[in-house]
Amino acid sequence: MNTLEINDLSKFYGDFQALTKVNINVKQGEIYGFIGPNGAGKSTTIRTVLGLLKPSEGSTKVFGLDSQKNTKKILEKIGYLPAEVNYYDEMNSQQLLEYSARFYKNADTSKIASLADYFELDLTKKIRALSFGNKKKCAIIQSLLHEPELLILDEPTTGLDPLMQNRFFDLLEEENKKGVTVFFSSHILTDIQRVCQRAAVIKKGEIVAVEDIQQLIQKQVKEIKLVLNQAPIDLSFPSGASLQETEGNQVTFSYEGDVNDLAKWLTTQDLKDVQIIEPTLDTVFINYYEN
Amino acid sequence: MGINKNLYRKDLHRNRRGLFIWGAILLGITVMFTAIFPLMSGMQDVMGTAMEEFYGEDMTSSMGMDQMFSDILSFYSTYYSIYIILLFCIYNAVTATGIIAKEERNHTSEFLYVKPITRADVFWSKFLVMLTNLGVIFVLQSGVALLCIQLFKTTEVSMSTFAAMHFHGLIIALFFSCVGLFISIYMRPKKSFMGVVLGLIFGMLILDAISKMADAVNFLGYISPFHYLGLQISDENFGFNTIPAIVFIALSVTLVVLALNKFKKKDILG
Repeated sequence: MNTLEINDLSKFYGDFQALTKVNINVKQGEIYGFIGPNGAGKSTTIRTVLGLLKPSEGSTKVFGLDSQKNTKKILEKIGYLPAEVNYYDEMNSQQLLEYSARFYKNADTSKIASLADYFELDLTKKIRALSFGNKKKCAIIQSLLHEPELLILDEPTTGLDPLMQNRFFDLLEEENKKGVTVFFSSHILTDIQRVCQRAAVIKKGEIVAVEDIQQLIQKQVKEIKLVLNQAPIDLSFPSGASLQETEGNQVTFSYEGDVNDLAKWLTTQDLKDVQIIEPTLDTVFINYYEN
Repeated sequence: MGINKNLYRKDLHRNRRGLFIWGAILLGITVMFTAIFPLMSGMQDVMGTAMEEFYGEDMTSSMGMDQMFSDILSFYSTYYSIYIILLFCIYNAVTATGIIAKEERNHTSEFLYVKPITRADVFWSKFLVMLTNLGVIFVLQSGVALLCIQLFKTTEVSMSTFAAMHFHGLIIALFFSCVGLFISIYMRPKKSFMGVVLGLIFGMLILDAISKMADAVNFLGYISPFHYLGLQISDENFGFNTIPAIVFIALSVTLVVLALNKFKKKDILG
């Protein structure tokens, strides 16, 4: 069974169409990426799943239940980390986390201290005195206190320093090992690349691709750099090669195609050194957007 | 109808400062207005003439000031029907406009509405906070007024008249609170609805006062709740108006139901 299903979801704000027939299926236990730049419709999709927004067309299901009709039931099992953290300024983190936990039947408030310690969060500070990063840490903790089965994370690493990002990813992997499904929305591609197995790419409210992250990268153009033992004469490149450049015994070209064909071609060359540079997810992402 | 105790307690705590400040002001002016009566009683002739010269006969009569020095209840009623009811209605209506809209205005709605509670639970919990505040202020102000009237009276006062006036006031305040709640759900959450609320309450009070000045403008009062639920005990046949009271309670319930239906369906923009 899919933990999260989004079927033909469209959302209009007056005449403006924010989402167009969005379809996403997240399997149980998966870490699923949701990539797109700011304003592409990521948060609108998430907010519709959570029942904050009403869909204009289509439906969203969580744990097999319609999220508009069974909002209370599904929210018991969802941990949500918003992109923008807005809490009650007059509370301190401890009060906020305890208040949040009291909404859930199975929240474990004893985890507050250990998680605050893990993320180095001062629980006695008023929310109004917290930096954006510390508010984010508070939001991470509140999303985990009730042992959620699905974590919906919207730009989770924004505001966290690299050390805290690492701790966050470690914690996320630990939760995932326990069986927690994760829906990870971000415009930071290295984050998606780091933890996600599959990802949907959203552009102007439409899903333009749903791909296995590794396949997504493999499908893309690779940059090949060769150093030959001798300067080549009339070098014939493999099919799929483009942007060929030769300078002395150094040859560079871009390659798009089957890596086996490339490997076979490389064995026919008198190689001194070879470098196959994988595209970053940023390159992949830009390709999607440019095409 | 589901009340979430966690949300109810937190919101009650969150509104305590406003309740304390407005409560203190209302109690303070109640004590002040009743305490000065012994000094002012017996000045009906002098003060009545002075007021008629200043405000005019029609205005003095329309605001219940023509008989205000005759006994403490008339004296208190004059102030209650202008100052106390204004503050009472404004406090409750402003509280009502902010009780739900404030979450969106402060962008805390995203935090609250992803908790496992229904929109109806949120609505009723917050509505109960609004009613609690209304009830607390009403009981305190009425209690202090009753105590002070007993302390400073020079003649016997009618308890049924006092009760009728206060229950009319309570129903008017409840009505304006429900109007405030309704407005806050149907309008985009702005910085504050104070201007709208002040305009509405002042407008209704002034319309009622103008309507009593001459028969030709009587019709102006028909749209004001102050017309149906009078607060000036100097009016002939003053007493508790059961049918208008039921009508305004029914109108309040209708506004609440309409607000709830809209709230359940609306997009929370964060």
